[in-house]
Amino acid sequence: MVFQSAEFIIFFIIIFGCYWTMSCKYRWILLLGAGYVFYSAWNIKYSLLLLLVTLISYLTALLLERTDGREGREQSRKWTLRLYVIFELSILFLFKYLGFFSEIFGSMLEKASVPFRIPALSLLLPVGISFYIFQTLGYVLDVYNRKIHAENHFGYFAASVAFFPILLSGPIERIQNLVVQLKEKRAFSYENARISFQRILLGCLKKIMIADSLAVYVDQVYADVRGYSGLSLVLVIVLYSIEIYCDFSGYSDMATGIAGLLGIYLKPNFMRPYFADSVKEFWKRWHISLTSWFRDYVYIPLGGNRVRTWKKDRNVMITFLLSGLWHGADWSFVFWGGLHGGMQLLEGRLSEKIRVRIPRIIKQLAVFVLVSLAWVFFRADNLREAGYVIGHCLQGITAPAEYFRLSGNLPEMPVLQLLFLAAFMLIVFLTDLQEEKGRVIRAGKISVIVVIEMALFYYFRYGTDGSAFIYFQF
Amino acid sequence: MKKFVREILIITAASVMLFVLMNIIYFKLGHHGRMTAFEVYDAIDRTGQQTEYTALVLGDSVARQFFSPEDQDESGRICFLATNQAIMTAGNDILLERFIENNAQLKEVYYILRPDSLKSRANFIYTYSYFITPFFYNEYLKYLSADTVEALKNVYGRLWTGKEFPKWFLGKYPKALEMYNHYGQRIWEMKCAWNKENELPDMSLPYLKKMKQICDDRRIEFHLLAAPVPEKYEYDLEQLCSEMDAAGMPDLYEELTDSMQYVEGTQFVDGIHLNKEYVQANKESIRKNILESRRK
Repeated sequence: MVFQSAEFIIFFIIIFGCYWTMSCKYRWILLLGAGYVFYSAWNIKYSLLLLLVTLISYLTALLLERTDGREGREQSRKWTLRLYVIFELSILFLFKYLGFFSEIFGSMLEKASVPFRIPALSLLLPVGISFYIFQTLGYVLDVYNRKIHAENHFGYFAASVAFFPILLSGPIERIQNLVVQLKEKRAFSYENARISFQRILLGCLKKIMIADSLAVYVDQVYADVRGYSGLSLVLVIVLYSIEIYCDFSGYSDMATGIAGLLGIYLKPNFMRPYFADSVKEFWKRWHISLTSWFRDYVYIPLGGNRVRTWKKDRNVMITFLLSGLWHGADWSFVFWGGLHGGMQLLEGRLSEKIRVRIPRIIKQLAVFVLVSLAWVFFRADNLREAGYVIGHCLQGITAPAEYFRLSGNLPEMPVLQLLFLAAFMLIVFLTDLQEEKGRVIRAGKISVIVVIEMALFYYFRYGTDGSAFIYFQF
Repeated sequence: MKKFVREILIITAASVMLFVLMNIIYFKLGHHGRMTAFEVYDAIDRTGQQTEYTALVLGDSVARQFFSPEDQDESGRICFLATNQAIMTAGNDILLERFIENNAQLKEVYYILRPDSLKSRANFIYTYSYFITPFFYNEYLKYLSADTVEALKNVYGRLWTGKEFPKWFLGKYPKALEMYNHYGQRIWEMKCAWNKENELPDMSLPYLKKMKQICDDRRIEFHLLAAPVPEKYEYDLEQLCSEMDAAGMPDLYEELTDSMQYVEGTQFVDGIHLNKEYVQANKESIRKNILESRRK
């Protein structure tokens, strides 16, 4: 049940109607039930896993709080936390990384000529597992570090973990922020609902019209990268950068908008990342909830930047390598994370040495190029394929006429579709630009209807199969 | 909340109504058809014209790479009218019969396609866009058997096959058709476990037999030839052989398989169609090879 499906629209209309007509006191029950129904639509068995993680996290947090300040209990608190972290990471490891590490271990054994074969376990990856594991882990760590109090009411806690707009693909919203809002007596706000509705429309535009359309082309090329070279590959590199931004920020916009319609405020997960003028700034704007999670629970505990330079560099690299691994159990994701870490370190060194003032637009373009090249490792099936794309994208540039002619082997797109797609991208770009300037977008009814008209035409005429969001796999 | 819900309802209703209204206006202004299956409309137009061609080529989209009307030599003797496998053999039969009615001088017919195209099943989406939309008019229905017409009406619904605007609308917007299929089927499945696609009639071999018969009756040579396929072409030819034998067309099967040309797999863009460069460089020779592979 993806957000853009008819099933979800019906599901949400029912929840929305019940939510605002029932007493505030019982809304958590509705949201808890809705969360589990929503999750069970993917896989009913894995909703038990969600329940288990929720229950263990809830009890651990309570235990940590109850034993806090008692004499001689500090050691047991530490052990409780350690066991909890092992439990959480084991679940993640079992479902997400077991295959990857078995492969590495297996090849090591093979090289050492040890006659042992690791049995292959093919477990279906539970959707959103990385998101809710990180969410609950962060919550328990905060309780341990005495930053927050443990939530006593299991219902509010469980409803926050299973809050359906963010359950499958984030943002990794802090549980305490959700619990506080769920407990508040909130009245319906017309203005807030209107902005949330527009946010959902923008998300749909990004995901259904732009990302899904571009995915057809990008997927086709990446399915056989060696059949392409030169400008075709450059175009696909750029298109994928746009696709992944529109896909994930589109999802985040929809999640934020849906939560907003229920009166729940979620922190922004994207802040126009391609307007960033440094790689460091890019990470302050891209998938903010994950970046801040790694900052708070990995980078700072490692010492952050209040240590010697080499240690700071080490901390940056560890954080980014783990961030890469979080995205997927594959070397290409690890490499992608390492690449971003390396770029950030290099950027820091260069900015210390270069005294010339570079125009912001040049810096923004440079960041876009670097980030786009890094996305190749994220998208390609493996490092070798990624290497091919990078290595062949400038092939033939010395003969420009031939170089541009080679782009002809890209799949063709009807001119009308191209025009519409360009118009949608322009709308997204202008919206981002306005928000970058700090203006709040309040589209009038007429412009909303015009955009819906365009979207209806485009969707019915050229619509794709409505693929799942890229970040669902993480 | 009432204000918000009212506003959403107004926006939704206004958007949908405006969308339908704009399409009705566009339709009323005379912009009919030629949306998805433009090559089929073009072929229908051409079969209605009186010409001096003595040979006709029909076929699927692979054949069209070599026998497209765009490649037509107006002074030649062969009319190129290959379209798409989605019109199935029934669609090609309509094109053939119309052509014969307007061109009594016709001496030869070449029906060129991949063997799998010959047996391609009707498909809910493509059959609507490529067959119902262009062909489901009284002037063409006479070429189809009463069973085929009735089955198609039952599957797609009388409104969507009979009325002009809905037919045009679904033909123009493939996604709308897909949604109609998806949700329509779901509702049907819930009601009586009926899968519409299984109800689609066989529009292949019975119509091939009819085409052959019509040609034989008029002493027109009918050839069934193969369009190029990859070296590793995996299709159950034995099954096709037994079906064509059973349908009383063993000669046509032999001619089809004897004419098969294999091309290196790397020359195909999707395993079915040849890449542009290859087609451009080999168009003449492949065309010649196909036509000369006919049984003398």
